[in-house]
Amino acid sequence: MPVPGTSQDYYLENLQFDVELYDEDDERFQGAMQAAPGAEHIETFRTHSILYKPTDESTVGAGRELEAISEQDIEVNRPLYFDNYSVYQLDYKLNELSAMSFDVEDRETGESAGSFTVDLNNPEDYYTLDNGEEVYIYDYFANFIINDAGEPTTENNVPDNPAFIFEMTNEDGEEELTFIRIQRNFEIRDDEDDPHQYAFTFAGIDTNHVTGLKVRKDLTLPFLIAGGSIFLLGLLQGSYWPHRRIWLQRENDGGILIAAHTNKNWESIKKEIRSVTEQTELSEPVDQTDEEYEKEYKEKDNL
Amino acid sequence: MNSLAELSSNLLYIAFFFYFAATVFYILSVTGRQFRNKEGDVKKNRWGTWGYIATVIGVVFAFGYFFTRWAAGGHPPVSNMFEYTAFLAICFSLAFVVINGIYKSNVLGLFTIPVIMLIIAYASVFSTEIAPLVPSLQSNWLAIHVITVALAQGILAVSFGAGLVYLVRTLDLSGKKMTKRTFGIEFIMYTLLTGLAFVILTNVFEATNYEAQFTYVNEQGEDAEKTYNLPAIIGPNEGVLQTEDRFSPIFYAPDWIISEDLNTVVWSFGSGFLLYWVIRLIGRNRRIAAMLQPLLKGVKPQTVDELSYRAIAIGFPLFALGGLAFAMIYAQIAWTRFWGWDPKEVWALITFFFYAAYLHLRLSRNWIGERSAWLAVIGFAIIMFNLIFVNLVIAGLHSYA
Repeated sequence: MPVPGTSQDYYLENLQFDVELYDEDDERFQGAMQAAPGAEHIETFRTHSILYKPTDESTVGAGRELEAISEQDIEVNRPLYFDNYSVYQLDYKLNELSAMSFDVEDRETGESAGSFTVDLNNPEDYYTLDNGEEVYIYDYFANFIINDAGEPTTENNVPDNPAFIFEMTNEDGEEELTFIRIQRNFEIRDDEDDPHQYAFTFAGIDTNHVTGLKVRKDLTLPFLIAGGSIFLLGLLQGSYWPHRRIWLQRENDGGILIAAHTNKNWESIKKEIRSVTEQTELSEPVDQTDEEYEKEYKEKDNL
Repeated sequence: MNSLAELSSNLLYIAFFFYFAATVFYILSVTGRQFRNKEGDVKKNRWGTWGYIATVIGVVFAFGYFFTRWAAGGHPPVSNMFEYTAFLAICFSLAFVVINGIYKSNVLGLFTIPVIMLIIAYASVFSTEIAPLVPSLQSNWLAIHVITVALAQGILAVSFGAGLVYLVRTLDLSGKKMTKRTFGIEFIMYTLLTGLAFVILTNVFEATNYEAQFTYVNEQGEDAEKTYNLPAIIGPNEGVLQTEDRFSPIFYAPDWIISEDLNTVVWSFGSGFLLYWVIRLIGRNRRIAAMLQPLLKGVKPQTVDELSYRAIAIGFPLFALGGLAFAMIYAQIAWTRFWGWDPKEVWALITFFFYAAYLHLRLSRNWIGERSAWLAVIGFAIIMFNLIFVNLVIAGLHSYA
């Protein structure tokens, strides 16, 4: 199917979908598995897919010639990347309804008029029965609900609760409508006592595994990465390159003045000056804020 | 459980023992006598060095636990509450070892190592079994993201320890009247004791296999059963005790409350309260912080203040890297989007903004000393809130129990 959002520039085919469970006898996880008996431990799920691109010559529309570009397993944490798009394995559903079959009986003759199968994800408008008559799908609800206004409608296009209204024309030229959904079947009749010529019965279902993929295209990512990197670099620079100054001044009487300033990490510059002056004749400059502090606390302790 | 996993958990026990020994040494170092030598200089006792050595050995064993568990499970052991909480404590102790290697403050050890033990003990409340990884966690980014975050939070936790030391050292705790400050510092003490009470309670009752079965009516109005692992003060909605010889509830919770969790919370806060007042009565009704204060006389406030700030200066960029940058890359790969307002993401952002505000206030508004220390404590509270409350109470993508 064409990849949504790529204006039919790419097509993706799902060859196979697998779910792998952790081995129940895996020695490493015995403790955790026994603590939750019966729980499923999913190891991974993946879609084996082929990516196609239409050849240059073919025009937009049905029946385009496709060229396979790549074949890849799309897995959680291993998306498929192509041309700024990413296709992610998001979720899955096992045994989703995929097709429903119906038998049609002609009540006039008592014989079967034939049967047909509807692809729930891609229903056709008309189905031709064995006797040459056509069934028209008057309405299809993939996930049937009755909405707040009391009208039948579909919640989404996932065939969880499919419902149909079939239309057939009988020999008298009248249109007959039949409503069918799972465990429900009634003919929409003008006259309650006048059954339709054609009776529908539910014949069977088909299921398949459905993979949930998500397509994303996000061209802002490089800007985000650039911005984030600049921020982190600036943060590092701001945090670890402090502004420091140390002044030394020779006085006329031969003494040396030493003073220092920094915008942060005051204690560490003091420590460094201490280590520099320790073995020399210079005395360590006094931090007057320390003195004030000591004084204040001496007073407090004496109280 | 295979032998490697068994070895791994034994190594963690040994590490815990060494942290305990370190705590004892640090207590001795702070309370022990200080000698004056012949020249009249203050000569400190050697217990602090022993405390530091014991901590280093503890860290080595803790990393032994970490890597043997990694080998046993085949994936980095940071994938559930037990593993992450334990690793956070290990990173906390590693950060302490590095930072205290520079600043050499025994009092800091006295305040941080017990908190580290408390966090490890809290971790052990959760299931310690090695569980298989769900698909979205199977990525190298799991290790990169989580280990960076744990390291960053461990370093930020050291700033909490230093901030707490600063507060206990400098606040005026002598007055009888309760002030905002004395209430704040005592609230921190009470919270820590509540954590201690919770850990002791759950471990004691688990060791005695306490179980009380209840039948009750759940929020859908159906009959259901639940098991209490602590004596029920607060029973479930219309609960009926099924196990004999068990404590019968005094109150019954309404159906929309998870009654056994509320019961545990009541137990913890209640026994924390009891513990707090027992200690206060032993100390002749002095505040706990006031009891600790005399031990801290030798501490220079400016040094712990700067230590606290330096820890944040290291932890903050690391947190921005691990908790936001790596997290966003990982989320883009595993969850298809770099940002999705998941509760944990929101709280990581709040943590980031909080410490950013701390740095701005400190560096440009001169919020040093006491204000800065209060902020460091609140920052750690945010981290713990994000770990405990956001994971356990709010359902989100990060809720790996």
